Amino acid sequence: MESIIKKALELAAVEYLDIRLEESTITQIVYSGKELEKAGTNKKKGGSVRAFHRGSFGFATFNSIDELPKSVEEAQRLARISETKGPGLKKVVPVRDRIIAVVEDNPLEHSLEEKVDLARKYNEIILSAGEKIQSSRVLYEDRFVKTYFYSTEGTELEIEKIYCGVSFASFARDGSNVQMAFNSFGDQRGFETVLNHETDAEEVVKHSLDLLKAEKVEGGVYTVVLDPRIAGTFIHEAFGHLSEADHMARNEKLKAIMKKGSRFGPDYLNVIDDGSMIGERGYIGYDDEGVRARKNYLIKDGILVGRLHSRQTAELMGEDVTGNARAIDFSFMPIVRMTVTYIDRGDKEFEELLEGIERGLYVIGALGGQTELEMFTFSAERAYKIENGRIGEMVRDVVLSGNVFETLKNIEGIGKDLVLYGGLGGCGKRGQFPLPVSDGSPHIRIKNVVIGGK
Amino acid sequence: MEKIVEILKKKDLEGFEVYLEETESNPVIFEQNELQSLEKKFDRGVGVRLIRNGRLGFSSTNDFERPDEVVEYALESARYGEKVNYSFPGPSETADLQIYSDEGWPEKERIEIGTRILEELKGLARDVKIDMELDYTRKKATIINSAGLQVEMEKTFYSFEISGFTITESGFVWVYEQKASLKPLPPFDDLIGKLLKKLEHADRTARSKSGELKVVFAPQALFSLIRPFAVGLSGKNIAKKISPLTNRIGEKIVGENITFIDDGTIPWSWGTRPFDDEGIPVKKRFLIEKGVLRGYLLDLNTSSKIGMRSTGNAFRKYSSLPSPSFNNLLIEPGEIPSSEILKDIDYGIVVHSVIGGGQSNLLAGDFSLNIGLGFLIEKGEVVGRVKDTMVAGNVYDCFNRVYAVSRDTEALGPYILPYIAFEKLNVTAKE
Repeated sequence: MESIIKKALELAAVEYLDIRLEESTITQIVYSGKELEKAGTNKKKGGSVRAFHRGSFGFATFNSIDELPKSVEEAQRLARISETKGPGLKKVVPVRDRIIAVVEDNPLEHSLEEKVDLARKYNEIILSAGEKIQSSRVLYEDRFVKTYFYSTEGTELEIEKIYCGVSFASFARDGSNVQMAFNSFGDQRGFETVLNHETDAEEVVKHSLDLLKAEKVEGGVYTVVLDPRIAGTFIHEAFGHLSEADHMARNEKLKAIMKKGSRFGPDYLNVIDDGSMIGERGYIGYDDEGVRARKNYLIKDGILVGRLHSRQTAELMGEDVTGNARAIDFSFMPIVRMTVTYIDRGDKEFEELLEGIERGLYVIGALGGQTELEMFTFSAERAYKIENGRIGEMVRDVVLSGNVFETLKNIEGIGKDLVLYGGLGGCGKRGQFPLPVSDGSPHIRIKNVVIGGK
Repeated sequence: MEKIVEILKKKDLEGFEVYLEETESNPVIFEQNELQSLEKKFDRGVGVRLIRNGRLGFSSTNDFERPDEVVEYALESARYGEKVNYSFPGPSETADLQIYSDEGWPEKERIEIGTRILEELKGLARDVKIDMELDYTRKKATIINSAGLQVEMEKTFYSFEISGFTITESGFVWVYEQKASLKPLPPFDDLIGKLLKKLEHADRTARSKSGELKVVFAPQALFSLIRPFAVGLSGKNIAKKISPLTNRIGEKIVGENITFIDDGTIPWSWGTRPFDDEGIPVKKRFLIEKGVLRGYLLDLNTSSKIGMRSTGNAFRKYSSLPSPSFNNLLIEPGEIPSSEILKDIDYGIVVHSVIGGGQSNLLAGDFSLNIGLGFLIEKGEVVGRVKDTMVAGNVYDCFNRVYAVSRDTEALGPYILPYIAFEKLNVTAKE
């Protein structure tokens, strides 16, 4: 393998060229209601060549390694016809490294039968919970990915990753009222991540049944307390995407808004992206340009101090690389992405966050989120009314929206209880979905959040 | 592929299907007013479905050197797989449709088009950052099954997408236009004009009242209101009885002025194809006719579960099992031009894009959307852009109160959508 790649690199006659080869094996089990919809293993292998020449990229993908020399020529041809005479790539010191995925309990060593049994067990917990449970969806997934990365600068990497996770959803129905509750667990810690979630499955059932009785939330402007999961989604959507330098690298106005040293939140707000946290779903070790992942502060003590870069955006902005160029697989160009993004712990107890809220919401669980960099939206699985500092009845259909420049400043308190979440989904950007990421936060309190509804 | 078929023929099976897919795409990508990359992406893979002892097995690979491995994985999968009671279809007559034009779209021509558009926009005072993607893709799919079906389909895809980003007094503004066809695109200069018009309207901010307001969804935003219908009409959710449309064919589910047609035969339209990804012929059919539910979106599997026939709506990639979806969805246009619908509004909002589509309880038909780009209209005139404003409701409710459907439509890939005007939707604005 190594000799074939090195020989292909010798064909390079552009400013810069890299080669990625990848092999992945993915096992998925899907229960949908009573039916086992899917149980099996798929394989994918292939590679890509990325050439950089005078400001722009040529990129060619292939399935069979026999195509590698041809793809090197093709990528170079594409890079040459698209040249813009723009700036180069940020200089980095070449690295040679090998990361072997070590997990105590390797999911690949478990049989398909065992995985099917596990998924069935969770599925039965949901389906046996009574006649109002109309359906279920349980997904088990493990994914082994091995990547080789070689560049003309001398970087040589061999990286393995093992992802493993499980998710379950319960659908409760009462007449035309259908409600869903959901939970998921997924990271790079091995098979133990998917074990012992019986209680979690029971809770998902309970939440879906409770949602049947819950009222729709009344639209309006609320003070909210977010649980760590949805607070993680919030910081990912509201601020993480805005920190991706590809949006601002060639945009003077946005650069001025995102000037380092600007105040973005209260003194006790710290936001971090860290791709070096071994075991987390968003752990990468090295990014897809061969840059080592590191802990990057984005906001420190409420002040903007950093952002996420590829080698190209780092060069364009005259800043250091951060190790955030990522691709969902070999067939995509790396672009600026998050890894493990979180709000660091604060000093408030949960009860203190509730104090003094006359009309608010305690918002729990995240179904998704989207941003247009300034305005963003994220939705909760469920929420509870807060009246005079006390948690009251459940409400549903809670979709929150905000404006990053106001909402971060409207943070009124951060708890001590930081939790990071991975799960089985991921982040989407420029057609690349799902990218494994983690996000997290302690409980946080925010004022003036717009919630849609009647 | 032949090797895989040979291996499968020797196994003791109730049925099998081999789906081979070959895609070559060649996008030219501009980012932030610069040519960013040129790509040539090739992918060729195969998916194997088989039925053994009444259970379905599936596996896929793009490694053609080991044809036995994918069959072994599929057989292993069939030990646990779903119990199925359908069989793979034999050959049937299919229409000859316009889906392939190998005229191509030279890279250099596309670079020139993009560069010219950037030059034109540079002349304008507005500081807009433009992203563009000009793509030419060829896709070939081959299906061979144990019932004697052996068909091949080749499609070409030509597409242009442009998005503009600017920062004004009203904040961050995103505008988007696209054009897509299976044949070379006609000139799309009109898109630039549309883009600029939206930018101009976004210069000023306007504050909307909260409460029940007239709201018009433009085609690009309407897509978010179609999603709950896609979920509700999907055979998967009908078979599971979690769709509110379960067992309601023949019933009136929305207003009489609403007609949804699934038409996979429109010449050169994005979703047009003679047969679906299981080899079932594709037709033109009503899903909702004058408010009455007429049919679902079904593939072999979902149709067999509810005792119906496949409607030719199976979609898949080689690496996944089929799942039903629209071929081309046409919402039947009305009589009035959209410009007149907007002129007739005394007080209301026109929505061009939303943030947060698909995050609500889609099964129930709910939506709760943050307006990404939308304008307040007073006495028929655009007053300015609304921000920090949400619009919420339920499609099965609000599609009963549509007071106008526009005559003009916009084709967004396989979705051909008009402007739809709602009498009253719940709007929540920040005070």
